[in-house]
Amino acid sequence: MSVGKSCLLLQFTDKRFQPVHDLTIGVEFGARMITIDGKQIKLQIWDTAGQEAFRSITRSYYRGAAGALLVYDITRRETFNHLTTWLEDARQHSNSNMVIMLIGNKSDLDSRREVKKEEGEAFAREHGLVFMETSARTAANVEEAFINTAKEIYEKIQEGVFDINNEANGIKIGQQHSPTNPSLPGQSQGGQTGGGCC
Amino acid sequence: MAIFEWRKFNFFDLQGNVDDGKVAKALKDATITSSTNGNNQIILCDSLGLIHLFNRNWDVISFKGHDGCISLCELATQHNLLITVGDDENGSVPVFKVWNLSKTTRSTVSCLRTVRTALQKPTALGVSENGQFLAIGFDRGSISLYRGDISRDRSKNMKTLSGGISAITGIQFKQCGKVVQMFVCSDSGVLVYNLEHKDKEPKIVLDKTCEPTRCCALQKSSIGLSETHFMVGRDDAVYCYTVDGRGPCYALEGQKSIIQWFRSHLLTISKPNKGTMSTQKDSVLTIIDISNKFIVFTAPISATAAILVEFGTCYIITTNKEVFHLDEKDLNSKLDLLFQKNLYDIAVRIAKSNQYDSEGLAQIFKQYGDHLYKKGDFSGAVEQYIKTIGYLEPSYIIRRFLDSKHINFLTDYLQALHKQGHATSDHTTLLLNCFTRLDRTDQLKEFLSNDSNPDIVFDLDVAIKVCRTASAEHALSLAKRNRKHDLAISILIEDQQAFFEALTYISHLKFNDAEASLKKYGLILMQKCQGETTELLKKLCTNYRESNALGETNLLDINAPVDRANCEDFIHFFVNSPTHLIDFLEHLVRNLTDCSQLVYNTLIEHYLCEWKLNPTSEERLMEIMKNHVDSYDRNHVLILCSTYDFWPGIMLIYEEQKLYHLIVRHYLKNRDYNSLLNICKRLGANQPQLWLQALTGLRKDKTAPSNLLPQILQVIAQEKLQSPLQVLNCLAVESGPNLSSVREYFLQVFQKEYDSTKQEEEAVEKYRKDSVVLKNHIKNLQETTIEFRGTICDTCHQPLSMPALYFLCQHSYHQDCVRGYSENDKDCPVCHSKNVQLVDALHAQSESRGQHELFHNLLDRSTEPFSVVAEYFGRGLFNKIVLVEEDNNEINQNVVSQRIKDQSQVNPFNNYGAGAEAKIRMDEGSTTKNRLDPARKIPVPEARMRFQEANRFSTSLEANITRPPVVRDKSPRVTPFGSPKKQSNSISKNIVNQRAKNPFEDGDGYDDSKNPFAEDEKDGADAEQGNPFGEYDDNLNPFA
Repeated sequence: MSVGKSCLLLQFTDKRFQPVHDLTIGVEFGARMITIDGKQIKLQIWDTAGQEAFRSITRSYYRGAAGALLVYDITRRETFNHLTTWLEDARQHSNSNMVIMLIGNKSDLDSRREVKKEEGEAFAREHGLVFMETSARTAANVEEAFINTAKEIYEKIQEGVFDINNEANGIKIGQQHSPTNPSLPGQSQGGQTGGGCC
Repeated sequence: MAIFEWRKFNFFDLQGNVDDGKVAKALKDATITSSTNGNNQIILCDSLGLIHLFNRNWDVISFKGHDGCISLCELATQHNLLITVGDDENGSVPVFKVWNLSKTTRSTVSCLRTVRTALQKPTALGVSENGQFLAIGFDRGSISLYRGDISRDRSKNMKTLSGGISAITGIQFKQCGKVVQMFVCSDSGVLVYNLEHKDKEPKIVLDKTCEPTRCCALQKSSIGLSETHFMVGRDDAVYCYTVDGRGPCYALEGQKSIIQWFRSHLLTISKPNKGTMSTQKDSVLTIIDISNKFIVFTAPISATAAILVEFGTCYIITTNKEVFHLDEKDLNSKLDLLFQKNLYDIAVRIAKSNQYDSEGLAQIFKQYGDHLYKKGDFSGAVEQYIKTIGYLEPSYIIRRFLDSKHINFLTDYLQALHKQGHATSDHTTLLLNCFTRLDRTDQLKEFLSNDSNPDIVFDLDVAIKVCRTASAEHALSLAKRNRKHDLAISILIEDQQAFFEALTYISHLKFNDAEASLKKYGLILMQKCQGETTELLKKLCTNYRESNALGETNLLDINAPVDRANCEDFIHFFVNSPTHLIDFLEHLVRNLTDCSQLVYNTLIEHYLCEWKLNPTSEERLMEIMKNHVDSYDRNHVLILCSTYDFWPGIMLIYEEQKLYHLIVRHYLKNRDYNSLLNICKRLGANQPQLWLQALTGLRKDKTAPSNLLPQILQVIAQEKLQSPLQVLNCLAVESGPNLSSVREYFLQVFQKEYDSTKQEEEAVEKYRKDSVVLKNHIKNLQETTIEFRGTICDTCHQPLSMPALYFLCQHSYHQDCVRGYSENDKDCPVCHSKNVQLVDALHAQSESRGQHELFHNLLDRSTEPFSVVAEYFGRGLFNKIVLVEEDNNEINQNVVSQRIKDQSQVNPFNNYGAGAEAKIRMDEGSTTKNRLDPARKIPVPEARMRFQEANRFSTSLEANITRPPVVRDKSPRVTPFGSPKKQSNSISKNIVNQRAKNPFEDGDGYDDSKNPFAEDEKDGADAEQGNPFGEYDDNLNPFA
C-alpha cells in the first residue's frame, strides 16, 4: 500500500526486489559506496516510515541530510496529492540547500497509471526539484535516481554551497581515505527521506 | 499508536521464581541498586553496600563493598575485575573500587583500589572489556575518563571531559581494532569519543536531540548486522547510532527504563507515556526481533531492576527481587504459532534464520501454498509450491491445478520443475500440453529452444510428440535440431503435407538415415511428388553409395548388399507410377552393374506393359533383354513375355535356355516358315534334331510352301541326320506329303547309295586283287626260288662286292655299308624304318586290345554298341598278333589288313547313317577272308588261333559276366572282374599268400578247390585243358 520507498532502497543497496515488504516502523537504514568523478562516496540512506504516526521520528532525520528523494506512486493519485505536505515538511526541517529529487515510482505498472509523467515533471519544475520515474521492481532508473541525487549534491559541494566542515549539512570528509586533500569530500553523506502516504 | 504497527507474536515464556527465592534471601531488606554480569556470574549490588555474586545455581557470595549505597557497578570481563561506585562512610565524595573477582574466597574478595571521584553524583559507569578504560559520568554532564590499567593506581591519568549539561545516562566502550570508541548518551544528545590517540579524545556529536534519554545499550554484533549499533532508548523510539552518525530507529512508544540486547532481539522495559495505571505491574516488557521486524513477546511486568543476559539465557530481576527467566520457545512451536495465524512467509523467514533444513522449509512452503490455494491466490500458491520442488512429490501439486482454469498456474509450476531438472517425461508432456492449450507459443518456443541447455532436461520424443498435436512447426524445429530425423520427416509429411521439404530433408541425411526414412515414407512421397522422389531414390541407390565408397572401402562391402536391398525395397513405391518406375529402373540398370534380378524383371515387365500399348518400344525392350540376358530371371521373364504375347522375347529366351524345339514348335504353329528355316539353318549345325522336328512338323502341313520340305530333306540328306528309312517312316503317315515333294530326296538317296555301293565294290575288288598279289608273292617266297639280282649296293650305289647282304625285299648292300646304317645286319636299312612303324602300330593295337576297361567304357557310352564291337573286331581283337621279325613280308601282309581297317575308321560316318552297315560288313568280309585262308596264316596255325580266340573270347565273356563262382568265394578281395590272363593268376596267388591275413577266413577251412582261380593257377600257362569253356562250339560263335 506504500509508494515503495523501502523497495527502492533494497533495490539500490541489495539489487533485489521483495514484493511483500513489511511496513517500515521508524526508520530503516542502508549504505552503499558509489563513485562520482573518480571519488569514492559513501551514501548513507535513511528510509523513513511514510505513516503519519511516525512523522515526529522521521522529521528528526531531515536534519543533517544532504539530499532527499520524495517518492510518490504513479498508480495512486492521492500519493501525488500529498507531495506538497511532505515537501513543506522536508523544507521546514532540513537545511535549505538540501537536494530534493522527485520520484514517481512503480513505472512498471503503466497500465494502472493515474499520474501522468507530465504532471510529475510539472510539479518538479514548479518546486525546483529534479524528476524521475522509477520502478523498484524492474530496477529501472533506480540506480540513476540515487546517483543523480548524489551528483547534484557533489556539484553543490564543488560550488561551495555546502559547508563541508559543518556536519549538520550531512556531509563529512572521509578522514581515512583522503587525509591530504581535505578540500574535496571523499565521502558524502546523502540523506534521503521519502514522501508519500499510505 | 505506533506500537500497533509491529506484528506481535508470543515466542517467549516468562518463567518466574527460577532462583527459589535465593536472591530475595540474600538481599533481605536492601534494594537492588545496580547490577552487572559476566564470566558466569551475576552481580547485584544493594543499597546497604553489599555485593552479591551469584553463580548459575543462584548460590550467593556476599561481601561488603561500600559503606553506603552502591549506585553503579560494571565488570571488566577480560581480567574479571569488578568496578563499583558507591558512597563511603566518611564523606560525601563517592569512590570507586576495583575488585578482583578471580581471587575470591568464601567471604573475602580482594579490593585492588579505592579511588575518590569528583564531587558529583555519578550517574553512569563504563569500562572497556580489557580494563584499559574507565569512565564515570556525572549528573552535570562531565565525564571522568581513566586510562591505563584500572587495577593499578594511576590517578594522574584521569581526564575530565564535558559531555553536555545534562546528566550522563550511559557510557559504552566499543573496541574496534586499535580504536576504542566511547559512546556517551545524555538527555542532550549522543556523542562518540575516539580514543585513538593518547591524550586526545576527538568528539563527534551524533545527535543533538533534546529528549529524555533514560537508557542505552550496545548492540552486540549479531548475525546479519554488519555494524555495531549504539542504541538509545527514548520515549518515542529506540534510536541506533553508528560511529558515523545515525542509523535506523525502531518506533516503540513508552518510557524506556532498560533496554538490553539478547541475541537478535531487543528487550525493552518501558512504562506507558501517560502512566495513569499505577498498578503493581505498570511496566511492559517488549521483545523485538530486529532482523524480522516484529515483536516476539510483550508482557506486563512489575518494576524491573535488571535484565541480565548470562549463562546463554536471559534473566529479569524485578525491584521486588523476583527473578524471571525468559524461555524462548523452540522453533517448531514458533512455527506452529505462525501457521495458526497463516503467517507462512514469516515462518519461512524465521525458519531460514534458524538454519532450518531445506526439507522442513519445503514443508512450510507446501503449507503456505496450501493456504494460499485455499484462499484462492493460485499464483501465490504456485510460487510457494515451486519452492518445494525437489522435496515434495510434484503430482500433489499437479493434481491441484489440473482444472482447466488453473492451467496457467500449472504451467508455471511445470516450467519451474523443468528448470530445476526434476521433470519426468510425463511432466514434459503435460507442460507442452499446457502451453498449447494456453496458446503460449512464445513460451513454448522458448522452452523448446532450451533443449540444448543441460539444466533443462526433458524427454525429446515426448516433447516432439506433444508439440505435433499443437504446433507442428515447433515440433519440426525441435526434431530437426535434435536430429530426430524420423520424427521430423513424419511431421513434414503427415502434419504439414510438405512433401518437397521432406524430400529435401531426407536428401541431406546420412545414407542409413535416408534409406530408413525413404523406406518408411517413400510410398506416400511417391504419391505426392513422384519426380523428386524418383530422383532421390535414384541417388540413394547409386550416388549415395558412391560417396560412401570414396570414404572408406570397407564400408562399400558392408553397404553393397544393403544398397541392393534398397532397390527392391523401393520398387513397390512405384505401384501407381510405372513411368517413374521405368525411369528409376533404367537409371539403376545404367549405373549399377550388379542390379538384382528383380530390377530387371520389373523393368522388363513394365517395358512389356508399355509395349502392349505402344509397340514402338519393342526395340528398347529387346535391347534390355538381349544385353542383360544373365541379369534377369529367364523363367520369370518368359512367363511375363508369354502373358504379354511378346514373341520376340519368348524366342530370345527359348534360345538362351536352349529350348530350340519350342522355337521350332512356335514357328510351326504359326506357320512362319521363313523364320523356321532361318532358325533351323542357324542352329541346325549344332542341333540337327531341329531339322527332324521341322520335318515332323511339316509333314502334315498342307499350307507349307512346296519347296520347304525338299529343302529340309536336303539338309537331312546332306548332314546325314537321319537314315532314309527313318525319313520314310516319318513321312509315311496318313495325309502326309505326297511323293512329288519328296521324290527328289529319295532319288538322291538312292543315287548316293548306289554310288557308294559301287565305290565299295570297286574297293573290294581292288583289295581282293591286292591280296591275291600278295598271296602270290608270299607263295613265291615260300615255295619258289628267289633270285637276288642286286648288283649295286643300295647305300653307296657302287657295284656290290663281297661280302654283301641280300634282303628279301630285294635290297642288297655291302656288309660294311649296312653296318654303317644299322646296328645289326638283320634289317634292311631302307625298309627298316617303315617296318618299325608298322611293328609299333601293331604293338599299340595289341596293347589297346588288352585295355578292357577302356572297351567297356566305350561300350557303355556309345549309342551304338554294335559299331564299337564291330570296330574292335576290325582291329583284330581276337587275333593273336605275333610279330615275326625275320619275315618282313609276313608283317607287311598283316599290316595290309590292318590298313584296310584303318581306312574304314577314317570315315566318321562309317558307323552311322546310310551304308554304314554295309561298310562294316565289307570290312568284316575282307578280314574274314584273310582269316579263312589258313594257309596264309603263317605265324599261327588257323586251328590254334581259333582255339585261342575262343579261349580269349571266353575270358572276355567272363569279364562281362558277374559270375556265381565269385559269390561262392568268401573272399571279398577277389574281384569278379579278375583278368583271365596271368594277371588274374597273380591276384589269386596274392590272395592265397594273403590267406592268413584275411579276416573272413579261418585258415584251415579254406578250400582251394573252390577257388576258380586256383585251378587257373594249376593249369599254368597252358589254359587249354583247364578251360571250363572247353566244349565251346566254334560254329556257334557269331563272330566267327
